Amino acid sequence: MPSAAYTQLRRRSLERWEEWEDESFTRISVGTSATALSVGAGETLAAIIRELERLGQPDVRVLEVGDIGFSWADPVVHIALPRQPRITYGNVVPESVPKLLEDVLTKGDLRADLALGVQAPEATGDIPPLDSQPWMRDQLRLVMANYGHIEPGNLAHYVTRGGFASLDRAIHEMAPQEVIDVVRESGLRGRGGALFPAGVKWSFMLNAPPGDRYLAINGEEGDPAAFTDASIVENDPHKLVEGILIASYAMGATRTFVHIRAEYQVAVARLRRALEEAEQAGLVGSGVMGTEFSHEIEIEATGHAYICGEETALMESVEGKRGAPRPRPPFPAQYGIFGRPTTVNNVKTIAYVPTVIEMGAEAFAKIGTENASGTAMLSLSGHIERPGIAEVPVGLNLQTVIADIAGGGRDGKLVKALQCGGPLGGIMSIAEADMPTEFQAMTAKGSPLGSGGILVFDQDTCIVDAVKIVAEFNEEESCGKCFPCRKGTSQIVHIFESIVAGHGETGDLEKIAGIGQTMVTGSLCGLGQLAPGVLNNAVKYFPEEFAEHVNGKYCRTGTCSALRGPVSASEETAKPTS
Amino acid sequence: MTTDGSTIEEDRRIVRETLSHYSGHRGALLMALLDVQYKLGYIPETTVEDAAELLDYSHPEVWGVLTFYSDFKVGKEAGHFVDVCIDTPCHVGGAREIWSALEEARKSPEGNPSFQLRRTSCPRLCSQAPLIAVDMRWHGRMTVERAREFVAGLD
Repeated sequence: MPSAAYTQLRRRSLERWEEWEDESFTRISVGTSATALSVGAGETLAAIIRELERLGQPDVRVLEVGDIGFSWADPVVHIALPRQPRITYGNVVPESVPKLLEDVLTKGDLRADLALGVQAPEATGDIPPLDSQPWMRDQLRLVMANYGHIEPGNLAHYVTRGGFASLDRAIHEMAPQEVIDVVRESGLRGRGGALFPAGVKWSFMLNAPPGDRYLAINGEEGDPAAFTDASIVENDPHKLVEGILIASYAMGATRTFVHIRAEYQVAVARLRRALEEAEQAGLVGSGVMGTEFSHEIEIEATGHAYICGEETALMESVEGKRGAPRPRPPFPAQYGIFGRPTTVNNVKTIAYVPTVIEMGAEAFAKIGTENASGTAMLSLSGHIERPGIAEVPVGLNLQTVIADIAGGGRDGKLVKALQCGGPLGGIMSIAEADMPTEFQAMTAKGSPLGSGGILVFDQDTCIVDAVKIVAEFNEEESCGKCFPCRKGTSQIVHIFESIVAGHGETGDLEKIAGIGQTMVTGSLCGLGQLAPGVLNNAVKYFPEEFAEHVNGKYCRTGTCSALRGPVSASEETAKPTS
Repeated sequence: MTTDGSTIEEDRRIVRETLSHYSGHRGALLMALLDVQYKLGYIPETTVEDAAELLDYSHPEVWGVLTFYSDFKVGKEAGHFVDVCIDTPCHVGGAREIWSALEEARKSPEGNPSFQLRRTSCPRLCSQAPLIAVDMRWHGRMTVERAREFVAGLD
């Protein structure tokens, strides 16, 4: 039974929602996010407003909504004519706005050529249902359910789509221990990459000393090619806020620090708005929804350091210091931020919590595989037709992800390899990818899914060059505290530099493996322990390419300019790079 | 976001004013410095002594934080900032060629010296790689030609 406070919130929200979603009007929404804005979504929005004025259409409603995840089709615009389903259009650049609006609004031509799909079970004329498209039909959007549907940070929109019902249920009908039990039984694991069962982690806090307890949200997401955490904050910030409140209620946390890079200006601004609206509605602060439970949420902007994805480093950063890892014990649940008991959870992990409470442990555990329940949020980038964000049931075949959702190699080129899980993940050949997109299975392959970043390399990518960039990244991001990592990462880069400069020597790869061994055993945190894995894996799957570089002084793709390339190398490098 | 040729003294005044908002807050050094960075687009070197004085830290503590986090760009005032992401997704998308073209556009005799070219850490917009930022605004699906056009238009 919804509480009286929630019933009232829901009623007020529906009223506000209908100010926008009134079927008797034409509604145009533009998906904006930092990614969409980087390719002109802001200009498209401005062009739409301008064009509506020119066409004399003052009754058409225009709204900025979140990003639906189709980066490849940005700018994305959705149009719903009165009492008609919403049609999603892709690649709506400002120049194409006048013709599109004129055709759709005044000529009754729905422009099937620009449409990606209709948001309805049945086709509209030649426009197929969006959910039947190859990039959508295998997706299961739990965390992403509101992406592209609501104005991010607008509480009424979030509540209208079912938001805060889980919080209401948790704090009014469940004891904290029950919430922890549900999360534990659901099988929800930490989505930052470590896969620690969330419910078990929370239960550590129950033995903590009395007084203030903290929750820290890890939004560092340091892996290049992983961008789902920021997308949650940008496209549905209240989902994170609701998850924080449920988790904090379960753990008895009094304050949350949301650790997020200041560089993510869109995300920070939308989270700030979400918090303001939630505070005004009595969802954050003292006496949440009229109960005894009180909770404060602070945004802790950071300046980005890869190592701060590590939880003890993150705690140092929240304290405003250099983010060097702390030795454990003491563990964060005993001695964390400012010395208080602290739990650190990833943005994604917490964003799943409202869904877990809503569905119940059993239903959530049924999704995915035996080892890992729920969905996986994937960041897809690199040489593919459809880069963007997707959410799939854990266990979907990885080659299906690449072929159908990502659209295969760009410009008809063959896909050669995948880099999964970022600079501390692994590189695998595409042939190996006939396997489930599942955390443990991929870890066993040496390419852990980690935070969900999948970067695709096509046939023209030099694996040695790609791995060298990863090695440089790890050198740069090593915090320097542990000698084997500080020195090892830079020594590995030196060896790579000499290989691509044509000075490779037999034994170089063994030297790299040996340094890696020392790093694995002699480093305090995951960076030094995992950095060598990427190199080892790449050598394992592409032994010939490494041998060609080291011994043959030959680069088959023509990327390493100091080495001998293929005959057509000069033509290849002269091509434009876009 | 740019400094618009404002004087070094003016920038320093902004730094001190920004920092002073944070004095007395526990653990505020990092956030205060980020605020400076986002107001000016860079961190003037004199910020070290100003932050040490106004927020009660030692010089090494301030330097430690500034050099630890990769988003900080300590340097001298310049008309415009052009940032290029060089992490793996942008790298395999052609960032190296874009970097070379921009370097050429800045240094060549007929080039435009009014901007500072900086390497920056991944802004996590990888689905639109490669990317450059002109005066802190990111532009995706970048090509060598478009990058050249962007900087040619700066004054």
